[in-house]
Amino acid sequence: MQDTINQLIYTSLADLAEDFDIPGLENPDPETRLYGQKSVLDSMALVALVADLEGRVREAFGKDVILADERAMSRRLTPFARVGTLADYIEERLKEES
Amino acid sequence: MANSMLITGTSKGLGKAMADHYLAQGWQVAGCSRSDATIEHPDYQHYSLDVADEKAVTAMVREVHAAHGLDALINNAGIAAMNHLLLSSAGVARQIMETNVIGPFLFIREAAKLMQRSGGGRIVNFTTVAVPLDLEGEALYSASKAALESLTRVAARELGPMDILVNSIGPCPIPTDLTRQVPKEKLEALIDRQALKRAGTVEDVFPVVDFLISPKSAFITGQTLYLGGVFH
Repeated sequence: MQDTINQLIYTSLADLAEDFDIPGLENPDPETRLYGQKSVLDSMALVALVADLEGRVREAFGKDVILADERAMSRRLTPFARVGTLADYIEERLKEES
Repeated sequence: MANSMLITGTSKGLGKAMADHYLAQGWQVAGCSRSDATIEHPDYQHYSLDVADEKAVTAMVREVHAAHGLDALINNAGIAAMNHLLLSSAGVARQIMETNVIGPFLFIREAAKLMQRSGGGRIVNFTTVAVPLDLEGEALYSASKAALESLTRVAARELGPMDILVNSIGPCPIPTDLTRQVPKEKLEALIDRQALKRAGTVEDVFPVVDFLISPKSAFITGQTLYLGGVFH
């Protein structure tokens, strides 16, 4: 599952990098920083990433997850910090939906 | 592919009339209400849900978008409770806010996520002349719709860069289920405060929605348009 989720994120980031002309997302890996200090995404790009990923997760797993909810926002460490933390968060939410 | 819209509150009244209107124009229409469908049409798909149910709303919007795309969202569903402020319960207040504010918020959020991926869209929220008229007996209804008007303006700013235009329409009283509970003399007094002194009809509303979802209104967002000659 984690591999599939990582691939979804990579694909989404590739589209995002093109749409928003964002450098530094050419070869993402789990350590790639997304949002927060030294991040590559601004808030508009994060909104676009979340929306795009929710759609891709639905297509891949047939489940509706809402990634930007109060649980994500209230965590001390945002799940949107890095590719790896985001993938973990998506996996967690998918398991809850099972 | 035909243009696709989602209208909330389509089981009766204005919502049903709008669904029929746009189906007749060849739109693909998805509608919802707490009750079962009252429209049978090959291009109509109905969802029985509570508009404040986050999961149900999310699933509906995503399903509609996946099947037909989503060009326009019409937030029409609403409830009212005509009562003196001193006789209104917290339970009714919560119910009104859930349906009239949380519901449209959820639909806007989910629709906008998908509209931005497909290059933009139109959102029309239904408010009421009770807001500018500060009508007695409608404190909670009016407050909920004032919140929706504010949501319209802020959403217009936040979603403008995504080419998603958000506007509101405030019809004056139209004989529907929502106004049936208002005493006749109250309705007449309300109409007397309009510059154009007659009850509204669904035909008064259609051209405004037509305009707000058409390419002709591409430079208009964050506006609330009241019908019948009512203004602040």
